Amino acid sequence: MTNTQTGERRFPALHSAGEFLRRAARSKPTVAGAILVLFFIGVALFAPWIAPHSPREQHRDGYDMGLPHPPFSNPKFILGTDHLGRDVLSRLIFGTRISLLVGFGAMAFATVVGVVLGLLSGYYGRHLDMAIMRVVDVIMAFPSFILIMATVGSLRPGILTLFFAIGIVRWAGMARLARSQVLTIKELDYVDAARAVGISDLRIMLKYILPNSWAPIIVSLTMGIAAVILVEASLSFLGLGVQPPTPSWGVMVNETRGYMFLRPSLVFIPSLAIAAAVLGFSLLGDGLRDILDPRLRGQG
Amino acid sequence: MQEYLLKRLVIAIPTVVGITIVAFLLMYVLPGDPMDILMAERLDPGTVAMLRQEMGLDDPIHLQYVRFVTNAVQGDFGRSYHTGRPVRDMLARALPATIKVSAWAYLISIILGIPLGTYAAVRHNSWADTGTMFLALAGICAPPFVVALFLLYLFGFHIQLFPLGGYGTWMHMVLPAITLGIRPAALLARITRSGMLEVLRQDYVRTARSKGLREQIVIGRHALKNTLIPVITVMGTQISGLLSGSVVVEAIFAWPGMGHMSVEAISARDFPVVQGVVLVSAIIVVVINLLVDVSYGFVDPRIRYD
Repeated sequence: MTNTQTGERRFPALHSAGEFLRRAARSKPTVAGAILVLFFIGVALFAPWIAPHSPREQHRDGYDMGLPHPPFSNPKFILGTDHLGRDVLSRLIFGTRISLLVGFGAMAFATVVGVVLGLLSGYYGRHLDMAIMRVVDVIMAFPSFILIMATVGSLRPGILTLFFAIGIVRWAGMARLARSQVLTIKELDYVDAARAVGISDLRIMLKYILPNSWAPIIVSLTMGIAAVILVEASLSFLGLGVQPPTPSWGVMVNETRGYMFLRPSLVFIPSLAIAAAVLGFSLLGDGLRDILDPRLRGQG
Repeated sequence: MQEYLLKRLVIAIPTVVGITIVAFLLMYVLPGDPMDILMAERLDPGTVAMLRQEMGLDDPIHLQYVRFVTNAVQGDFGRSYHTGRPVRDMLARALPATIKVSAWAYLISIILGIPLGTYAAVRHNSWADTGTMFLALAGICAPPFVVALFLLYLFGFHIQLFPLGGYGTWMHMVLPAITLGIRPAALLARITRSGMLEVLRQDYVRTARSKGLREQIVIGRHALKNTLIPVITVMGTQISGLLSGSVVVEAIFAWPGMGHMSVEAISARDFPVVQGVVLVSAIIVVVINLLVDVSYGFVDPRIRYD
């Protein structure tokens, strides 16, 4: 699909999956990001088979002279035990599920809502565009964490609440992005041609415009997951997100905060996991952007 | 210029109206009914009915909204369910603390971010560049509460240099301000670097170099000025990020600001306080974005407002 006088496309098409993978493999950060992301997805999927213990079981032998086991001191508890005698490694493994679930769930919600509204806004323009974009402006005006926190606080705590509260804030950015894509693409000749032969608006949006605007949306989705993992961890750390005894990384840090000076590993092991997951999705997002839009390579 | 200002103000009006609607809905729709929360104190039905009437909870929703806005415009955000104090007074006490720590964090982010980004760009593709950008990435990926706990562990416990929390002297300010400043510093470094790389390729930079100017002058006087536009844009968006970030940081360091107050209010389901914080923080963001937009013209006279 070449472009004629309407100028350059924002994201040039990749001609094959092979080309995509070749470009990805050349960039070390992208490969590192992809490996990290795949690793965490694998851990989340196979958690019950990998974890040596139940994440909630309080072991009788989980203490060493009244204190939690430090990491690498007891073969039964490789990363040690926490203040309640639970296995840290198992909690860490099951915590992966929560982080990824909230990351993917909230961003899926935000992406579906954002893309649908962005498509409509960009395609039909005029009053509909005006109305949707004003709502976007309002959502974007709030410091996002404060709005998410207030929404969470108004509802019952739980995973679904997190999907909703985070999604309802993050769709706005997606809508703005999708709209800008639609505005560029709908001026192209092939869309005019489709309209001229009488193809319906819905079909044009879904079959002609959407497939050509996915690239920046995927990039934004990947970066969004990184951001949401951070938000979930922060909320759970403040006691407003996932509730104990569900093992979330943020909950783990919150619960063991009081033991920080005694057993810093209890706080810093889950912290490292959060940072690694965020890093993985950020690197992957950066890398995808470079691959999908070579003009931005090496920036930001 | 005046015309632009006026136009920009007019565009901001629907946003502000929208903000009040969201803040209103947060309180009146999502939690069901404020009375459910007050009922925890087990009042008899007669008192409840009287209170409902007094608070206007039986009025149609649009009337309640109008009353909410009318009161808010006059600076009346209701009273805290728990302390009974006016939310306005609580905000008036907390806001300066938040502004203080955010301002210092902001300053730290500029002092660190812009020089580091410039340095990385000048040493493009060297180890210094890679190292700086890796640090920036770490600063973006590390959760603020982790940074806070790490700093506490290091400076509050091992090297007992700074207090573990609280408010008062400048010593109390150091750790919270650093924690809050790291993320914007990292973002600024990345933006400055990419802007600088773009500018360094321009013809006028080559001209400046070829006429024999010292490198410091080329970078500092010629190149840096032209990288400032995207940097200022990011600095504008960072205000929102700082307010978000201040929540966790204030909670950890027991800093008596708006963020700390909102965490406590949410845990206690003290909705008028939550509502006040949400409303005030969004209005602050709108006003600052307005100022940033207007400031473009001073930084870059090529930008015309029409």
